Amino acid sequence: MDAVLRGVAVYFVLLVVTRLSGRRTLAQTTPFDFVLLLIIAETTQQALLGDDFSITNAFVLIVTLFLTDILLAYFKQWAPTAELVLDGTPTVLMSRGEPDAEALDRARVSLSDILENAREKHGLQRLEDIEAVVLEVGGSLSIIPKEK
Amino acid sequence: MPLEAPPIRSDGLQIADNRRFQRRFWKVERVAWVFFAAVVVAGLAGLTGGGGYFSRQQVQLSEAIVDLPRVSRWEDSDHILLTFTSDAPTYTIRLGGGFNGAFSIDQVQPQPARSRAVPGGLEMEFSGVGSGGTARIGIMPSAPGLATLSLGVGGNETSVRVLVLP
Repeated sequence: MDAVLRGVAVYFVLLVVTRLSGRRTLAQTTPFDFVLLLIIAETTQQALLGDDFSITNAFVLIVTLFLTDILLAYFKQWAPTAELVLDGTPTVLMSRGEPDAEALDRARVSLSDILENAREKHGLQRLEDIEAVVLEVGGSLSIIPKEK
Repeated sequence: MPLEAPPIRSDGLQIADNRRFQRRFWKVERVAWVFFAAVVVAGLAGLTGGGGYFSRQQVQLSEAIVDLPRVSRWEDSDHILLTFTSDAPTYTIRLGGGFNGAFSIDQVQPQPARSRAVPGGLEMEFSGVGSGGTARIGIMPSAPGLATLSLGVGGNETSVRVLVLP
């Protein structure tokens, strides 16, 4: 019973904290964020296993985590508001070539981040080459180039 | 599951964005960050156990000062430290009330000369320690919750509470 309760509790704690930390935290891959992910993995390991390192405990935990994920996916389908709260919605950061200052500030995305993505994904050189930018629910940036 | 395409905005993007919801969520995010900061401050202050000013409490009894946890953590080692203040050949320590249900004992230093079970706990007798001497009882919380236990040294007894966090 312990394993199931620990698994569900840690899953929801991580879900809530990650969701409330802001989407860019998910997508950024700076050395600091990489280190953060490693440390979080180590931190939760002990909380999940306690002092029981048996194969049975690990198996029950793994199944619990996957099942929680599946049930949450079904719940989101059944309750669109839950999907909105848990996953969020895409946010338009630039539209018709004009940056949305409020959205950029709240989402903690800078024009440098946008230009970096534009160069990486489309080989675009300048802001004027960008028609629209969307911050997706997963934290990645979608760049839509201007039609030439 | 019905197939419903997102609406097309005036700028041509076909996207299900919800700026009204997003604004509200950004406010919730910022409140959450304040809460995260409060958790860190509480941790530093000892309110989550594991050290820090508020994690320990001291109880003064006639023959000893008892230093024990105020906030402890489930399955994490902790300790009770007794500093004897009177000169006596033996000191009788009683850990009763809900002690047995709340904690298990890892080790006791120095070894008591005698120990026996009492309702809800145990009684230990230390000899040859003297005034200023100490006895350390290593404990481990058995379950999360608010534990109320009785603590006695010699003829003096008091009730203390320890919060065990999960």
